[in-house]
Amino acid sequence: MSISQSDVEQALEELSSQETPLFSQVSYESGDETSDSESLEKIPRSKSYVKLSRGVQGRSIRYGTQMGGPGKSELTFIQKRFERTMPGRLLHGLRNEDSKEKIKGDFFEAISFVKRGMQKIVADDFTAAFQEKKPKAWNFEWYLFFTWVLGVVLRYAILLPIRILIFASGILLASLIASTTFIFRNNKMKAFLNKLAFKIFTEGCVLSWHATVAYHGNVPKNFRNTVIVANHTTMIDAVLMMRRQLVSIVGQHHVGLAGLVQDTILSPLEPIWFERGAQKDRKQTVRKIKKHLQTSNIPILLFPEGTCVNNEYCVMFKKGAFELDATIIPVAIRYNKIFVDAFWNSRKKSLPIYLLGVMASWGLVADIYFLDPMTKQENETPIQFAERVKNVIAKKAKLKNVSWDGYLKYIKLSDKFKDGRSQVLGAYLKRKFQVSKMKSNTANSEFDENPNSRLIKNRLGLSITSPNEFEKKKIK
Amino acid sequence: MGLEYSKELTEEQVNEFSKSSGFTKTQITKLYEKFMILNTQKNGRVSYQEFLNIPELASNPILERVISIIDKNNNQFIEFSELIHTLSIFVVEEKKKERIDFVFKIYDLNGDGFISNGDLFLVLKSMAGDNLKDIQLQQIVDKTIAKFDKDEDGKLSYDEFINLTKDFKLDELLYYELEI
Repeated sequence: MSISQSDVEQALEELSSQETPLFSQVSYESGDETSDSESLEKIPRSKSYVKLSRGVQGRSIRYGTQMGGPGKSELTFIQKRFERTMPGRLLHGLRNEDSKEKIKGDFFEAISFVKRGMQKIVADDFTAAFQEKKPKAWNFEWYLFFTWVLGVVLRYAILLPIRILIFASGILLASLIASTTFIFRNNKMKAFLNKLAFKIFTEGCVLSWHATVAYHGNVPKNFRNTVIVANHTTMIDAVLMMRRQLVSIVGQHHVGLAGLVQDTILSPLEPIWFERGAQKDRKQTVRKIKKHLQTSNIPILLFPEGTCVNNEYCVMFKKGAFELDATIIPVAIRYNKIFVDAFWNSRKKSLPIYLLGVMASWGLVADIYFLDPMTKQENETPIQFAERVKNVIAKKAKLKNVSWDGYLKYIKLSDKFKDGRSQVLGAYLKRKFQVSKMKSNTANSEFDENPNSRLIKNRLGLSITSPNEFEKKKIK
Repeated sequence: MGLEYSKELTEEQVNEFSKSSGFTKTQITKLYEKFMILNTQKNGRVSYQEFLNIPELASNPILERVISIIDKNNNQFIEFSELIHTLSIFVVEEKKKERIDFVFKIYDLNGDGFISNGDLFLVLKSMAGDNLKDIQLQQIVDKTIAKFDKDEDGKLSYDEFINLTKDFKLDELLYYELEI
């Protein structure tokens, strides 16, 4: 008895309607009993996590405080969600394999998994998305090497000090001007001074990085109820955006000098800061965002990926930004890697070191594309909408579109989660072999009758549950 | 850039690995980089848990079997040499027999040279977990073995196994070109 290809396809169709919906249909969280926001309420507040802002991880301008990743309890949440949605993903993979490999054999499900396993050990998308792309060495000839050395000297001895100076003086000057606002009572004067400080600050930053940015696309005039959504590569993204267009960034409020800067220099942006440690703050921040959307003409800037990605890939967009009933303007940011790799790998480099690295290169070259506004359709869930926007951005910025949650790089999966994937495989095998519920009477029938057959552990070979098996092992 | 590895391979190590596996020196260096990325504990050998860190591997139902075969010295860790050796089986075109052997080993749980009823049952059980009743799983196993067991000894010998892989070119299916 052999199963035809179409039988398998049909079985998969049925399976997919029973199992967790496939990832491509993107009801990623449909297994939840509670909605995303409710379950988050129960999670104790962590330092930098906000359901929506996933990525503008607070501005620590010079002091290099740790840009927060998600807190411990969020990670548990993400881990559990991954474990729950994994069956759908596996099914998707099975379907792909079946349509490609045309394995006709009877018990060779293993084969595609073996091959895929070996391939993924060497090269998988998830790791690749967070690795810096290594530049090709071009200085292998003696004259090229000489040119390169010259370049290094130029950059480190001349450009770098100048740029550090510009950067520092920009911030200093901006801070000075901003501090004078306390002298004046007049609000208009205050606003003017803050705006001036802001301009000096952003221009100082951009100049110190020698950023050459080309802005493309139509930028609308009216930003009421608009959210700008972009792929995230580095903190510089936000600065490049705010230079072109006032954008309300959402981030963590710092204490001390950085906090002061946030309150003064960045105030023209009408930013939304959330305090750390306040549990109710999440709901409040959402409320603030919604209020801002209704009253202000400045768009909100959000990075749905939640973490910095290496500008070759585009990882999962979290749905928060897409549930706001606002118009979404997708923005694709693409850096030209010939000059510098702008990706900020926050696990490897701290912010000051990273910025110094950018300043010690020739310059920052980027293309920023403003794309056509999109709104959520009637029959779309926020997650489907997020996928749609993601495709648009990934296509424009020429990024590889992968579906991994960026926060997965912080979690470690538990051993037990094998259950999810074995669920899928069990169902698949059942259909494929059209297994009936009748008893069999063959060699291992002890398994059927032996109440201890459930003791067969997943860890192979660790438990012997039938005399038959024991005999076989002894023979070896 | 920068030293992110606790150890780097020495010249001679690279040469040695390159010779024994058939990879070029550049490939060895890059594979070692990848190995160190996998090795989050930075102790020179990768544990099963570290493989689970990669989502695409974590969702692979046969991961555990594959790893236990790669782990030749059975110390529950994968050393670089073990990984290189196994990888070369899949990317070197000529190693056809080794590829077929690899799959055979996946199913031959107790390593006695036969895929017995119990072997197959336990392997499939590990893949399908409790989601298939033992009775049903047993049926699958019985059907499969009965189909290919020519000498009717209740288990599949290596030759019988080779027979069933003849219909589709198993060694070709497993071969892939290393892009690194």
